[in-house]
Amino acid sequence: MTEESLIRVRKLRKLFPVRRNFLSSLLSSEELHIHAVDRVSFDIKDNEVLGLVGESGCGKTTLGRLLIRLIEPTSGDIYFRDTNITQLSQKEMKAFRPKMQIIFQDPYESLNPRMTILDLVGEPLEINDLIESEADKLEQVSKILELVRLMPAEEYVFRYPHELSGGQRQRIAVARALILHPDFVVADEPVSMLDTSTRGEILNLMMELKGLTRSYLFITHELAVARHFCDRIAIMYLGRIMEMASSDEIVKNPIHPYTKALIEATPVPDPSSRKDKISIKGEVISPINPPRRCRFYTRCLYGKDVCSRLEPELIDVGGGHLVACHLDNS
Amino acid sequence: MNILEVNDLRIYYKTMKGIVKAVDGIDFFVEKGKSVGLAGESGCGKTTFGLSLLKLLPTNGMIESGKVYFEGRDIYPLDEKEFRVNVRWKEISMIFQGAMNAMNPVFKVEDQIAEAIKLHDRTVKRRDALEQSRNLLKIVDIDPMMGSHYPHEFSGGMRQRAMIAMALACNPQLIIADEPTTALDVIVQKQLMDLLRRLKQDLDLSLMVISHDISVLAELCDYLYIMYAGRIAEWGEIEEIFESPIHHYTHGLISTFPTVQDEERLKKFIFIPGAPPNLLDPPLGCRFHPRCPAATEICKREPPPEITKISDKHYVACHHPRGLKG
Repeated sequence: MTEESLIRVRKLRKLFPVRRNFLSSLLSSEELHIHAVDRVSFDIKDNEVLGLVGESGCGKTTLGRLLIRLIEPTSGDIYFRDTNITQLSQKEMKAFRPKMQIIFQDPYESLNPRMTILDLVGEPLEINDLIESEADKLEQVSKILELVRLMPAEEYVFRYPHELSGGQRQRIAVARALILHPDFVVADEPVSMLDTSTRGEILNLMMELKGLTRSYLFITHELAVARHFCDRIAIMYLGRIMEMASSDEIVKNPIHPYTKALIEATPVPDPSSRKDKISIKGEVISPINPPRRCRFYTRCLYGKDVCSRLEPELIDVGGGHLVACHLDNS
Repeated sequence: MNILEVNDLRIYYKTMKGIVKAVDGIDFFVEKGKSVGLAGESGCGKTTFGLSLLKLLPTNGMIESGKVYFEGRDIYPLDEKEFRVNVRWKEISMIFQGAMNAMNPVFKVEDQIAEAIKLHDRTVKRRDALEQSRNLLKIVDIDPMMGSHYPHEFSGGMRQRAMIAMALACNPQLIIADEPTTALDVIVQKQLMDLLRRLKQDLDLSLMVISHDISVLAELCDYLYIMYAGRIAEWGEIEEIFESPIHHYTHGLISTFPTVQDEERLKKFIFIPGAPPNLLDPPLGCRFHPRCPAATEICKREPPPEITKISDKHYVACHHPRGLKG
């Protein structure tokens, strides 16, 4: 990759311990962990929108939160430009926080109902000592509210979240994330709670306001949305990245059997193109201490002997198309 | 032949803030052996409509007017006991939204299905009911051995399958599926849609599928009704609706769905401006007019004309239908 990377992730890992009752901990000394994110490495380029697509429970939200250190990794490194942020103390980290922000999934839960829009959107400024006076805060907040199309801003600043629709609330969440002009924004399923007719509005807004930030990590379970919103897409399955390529490439030339199944399963809003059965079997295996082999092995229709013994690594098969699958290498 | 026919149905909720007209004059048909989709956004009244067909409305919900015929028989005048014995689950059953919470967590799955069977036929022995419930699990592709497990031991997809088995318990002719795949992952969703299609074929069922996701309905249904703010905006044969939507809301709704297959990356996402109206105080005139690109003065003043025929299998309620003079 010639372009400069904004974020570099190396062998990032997050294990959550499984709580067990006293009796079963006596019977077995083996420690149980949920392998939410397991030795994941990838780069997010400067000025790029990277999509992270996967089913529920695959670890995509955990990965997003790890990247901005909302939760601490078990092991591995995250470089923000040249700084390894996993090595920073909480105090040093605070200086980095304005550069990385997050938009949460549910605008009904993520906004404090007792705060006015002015306080909600102005909070990041206050925390980082970026305001001189109340008037200054009002001015800065009004400016960003107009950018997210909550106009005229005076009509909104003294209202409370419950007075707004879901789409308007999510625009507040976008304003909160972008008011500091961060370099990097994690958008965790920002439209999945919204009505289908209004979600395009939020997506367009995030696109238009890309000038206020540099790179997005866009987490979603919908491949169709990611395909249009993102420059590149990473497909995640059980804590591992299975395939990663430009969004055109991944949809037109998928290599991993899981990616293929995902594309086949995605419903198309066109009754004349109904599809038959998809090529996948079984259900997702438990993420608790998964065996050391391809995590997709039990569901793959093309599994070979090697797949049951060795865990495939993510390798470049040409043109920046990365795949973690034994089938392709042979 | 129509297995279900609904005429001018109105359902109002009495609330502290006033009367919510959740369903406000709906005509609806299900042809025998067909599947009919009902699409609409959250709060448009589609679940209320589904629940009313089984007389399962919350206590503050009132059926203001309207008639519901099942196989030509007016079923609303039946009293609660008659309705339970002869209609609910016997003829019409339902797959409820949110399979996670629709089952009782403290009973085994097979017992819950057996209970539905026994409730409708007291002469059935417990052992036979259990055997029958295991058979039903087999039909929906669950290992019958799993029947002795509790709902929390099932995955989301399995729970939804068990819900389908429960809906099949008394051999109904019509199944209402309320958001059957919402909150499930795409692969599980696809497998469930395949299952529903297969059951419809094998058991000669009629289906009514309620969903906000028209791409799911596109995969499952023969007919499609588009509901907006308590009323039907457009209905017809599904291919025709997708090919030439006539109501501006339908057109907007279909366009808002990006597809994976598109050759080019979209430069912009399409959306319908504004938000769905509050049914406590819906807009005057056509309820869609504040969001409609073609709205004129008449749309603000007068409700749209009665639902009118465009072709044999395509009807619309709009002052300014797309692609037509008017």
